Amino acid sequence: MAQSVRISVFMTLAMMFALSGAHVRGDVEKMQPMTTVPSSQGVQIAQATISRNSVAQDTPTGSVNDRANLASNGTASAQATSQPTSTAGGEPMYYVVQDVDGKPMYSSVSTDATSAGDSNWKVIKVGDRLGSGVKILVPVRAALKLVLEPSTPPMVMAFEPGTQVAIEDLALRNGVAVSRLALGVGAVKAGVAESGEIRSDMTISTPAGTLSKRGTDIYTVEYQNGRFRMSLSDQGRGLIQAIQLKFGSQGQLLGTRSRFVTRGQFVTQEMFKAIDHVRFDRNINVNDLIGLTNNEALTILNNRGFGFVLPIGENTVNILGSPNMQTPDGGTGLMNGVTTVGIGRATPRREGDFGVGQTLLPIRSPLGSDNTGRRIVKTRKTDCAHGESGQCRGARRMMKRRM
Amino acid sequence: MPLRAWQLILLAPLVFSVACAGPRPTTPRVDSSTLTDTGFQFYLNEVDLVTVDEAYRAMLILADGEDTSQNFSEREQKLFERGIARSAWELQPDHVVDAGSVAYMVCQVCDLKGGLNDRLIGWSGLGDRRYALRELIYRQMIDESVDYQYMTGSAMFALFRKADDLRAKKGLYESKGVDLTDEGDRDAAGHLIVPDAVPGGPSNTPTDE
Repeated sequence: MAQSVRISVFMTLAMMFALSGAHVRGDVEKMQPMTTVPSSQGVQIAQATISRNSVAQDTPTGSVNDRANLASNGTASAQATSQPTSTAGGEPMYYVVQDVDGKPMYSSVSTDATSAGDSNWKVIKVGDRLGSGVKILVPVRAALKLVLEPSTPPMVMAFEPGTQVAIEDLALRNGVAVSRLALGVGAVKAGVAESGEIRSDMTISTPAGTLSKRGTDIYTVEYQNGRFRMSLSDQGRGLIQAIQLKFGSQGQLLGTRSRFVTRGQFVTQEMFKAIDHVRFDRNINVNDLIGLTNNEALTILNNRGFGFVLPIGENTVNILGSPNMQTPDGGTGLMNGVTTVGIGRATPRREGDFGVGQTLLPIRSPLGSDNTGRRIVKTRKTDCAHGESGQCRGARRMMKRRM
Repeated sequence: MPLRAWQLILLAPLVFSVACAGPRPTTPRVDSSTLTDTGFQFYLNEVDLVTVDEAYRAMLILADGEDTSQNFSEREQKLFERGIARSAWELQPDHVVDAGSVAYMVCQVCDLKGGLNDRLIGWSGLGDRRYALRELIYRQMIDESVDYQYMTGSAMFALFRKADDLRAKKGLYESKGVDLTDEGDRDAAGHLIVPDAVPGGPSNTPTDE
């Protein structure tokens, strides 16, 4: 009896599994014709397969990544990439080559960058007009400067050596000069002089993040080795917005982070606030304790180890009581090699990590300290002190304090 | 005959010495030897690991702007003669190159003298690659790493770009200096100077062809 019950249960489960499997297969078959993903900017990418960390899915953010990967053969192989139809519904605009150094090249956006030099690629000359659907390669010992035509709004752009970029959309639509660049690797500098009634809407996307400008000059976006850096020059005007997309191992969107950057500031893939970057944007010789500033020395003496290089609010503690070194750059390995020397257990604070103040070190001396914690380092005997009447009142010890 | 403890201790360094390098485990989708210099540069950005032959070619492109060599032995000979690489390393062309060797070559190409330890000890060959790597880390040209770390393609290309930028700033080759800067592209009032477009011909976009 029990044997027959077990057999019937097994058969029932097997039939349910078979039916559910057929249902899943049917869904997959239905989904296959939909692998062509038309993006909002008119670029169609079919079956984009991405070999590294970020995987574009059929999501709005996935299409952003696809666009960034158009210029990067290393991160994606876009099969059957169609020609852009970006000028549909708008008046085409062009980037006119203003200045050239070396031998930058251009071709169709679907052309493989490693094939540079064959008949598909043409050397860029002064006066060339480059519109949407163009991939540009700027090798080392080369550079490129472009201006927008028509020049409303006036815009100038420069590509640094070692840059691979695609102009995926460039058109005038509804009184807005729309420009979409996909940066595969390298650096782009640009500036727009907002004037007149035509507004500029420009974004530069990389596989790791997207720059959106807000009436800005001169801004830079650089992407290489999985990291980006977006900055506004010291005399820059306006504002840029850095948008970082966080993808999981399966390509699912984990979330976005956004950071605004004003003049003289920059943001990297760590997405620190500018004021935090200022603290870290310098070399620290960790072997030179004398060379450490109060901030750094107090951080170490305070059993915090080098946890101060972690982003604000993310000073998590591992099982050994030392600050974790995996979080600062999202696992990109930026902090590899940095030794964690925390002696004791760091205390995570739920309200966030507000760093340490720039104040004097409260070091105790065998000679004692004053009420402000300053250390008395030396005393010396002085000459006789004299009272109001001029009589000698004996020697007294003067304290010399170290400030 | 079983090995004794002291024999194992003596043999242990051999294990590390033979485990330092090896061929690339994957096959790139294109053969780098068939690529032009420009195509090769962007090939570096996409390949997962860089071989010694590819690193040698990259160094020659970095130093001369082009690589006219026909094969690995010719590249190796040029680099040895110019002191960019050392024969004592005995690197094999199909092996994955390590970060220390690349760092040493970049330091030579960029004319970086290094620190005191590098000058005193590195010239003898003892720790030359390690000190070179420390020099590049100090200059923020490469991420924190160790000298025996394999060199990935994207890291190699990033270093390649920074080294070229450094060479341009040091005036090691002539450059027109095409750039967009506060100093050169703003007027006295701080407004951005946008030059008029150079009159050109018809559009060169592929969609118009």
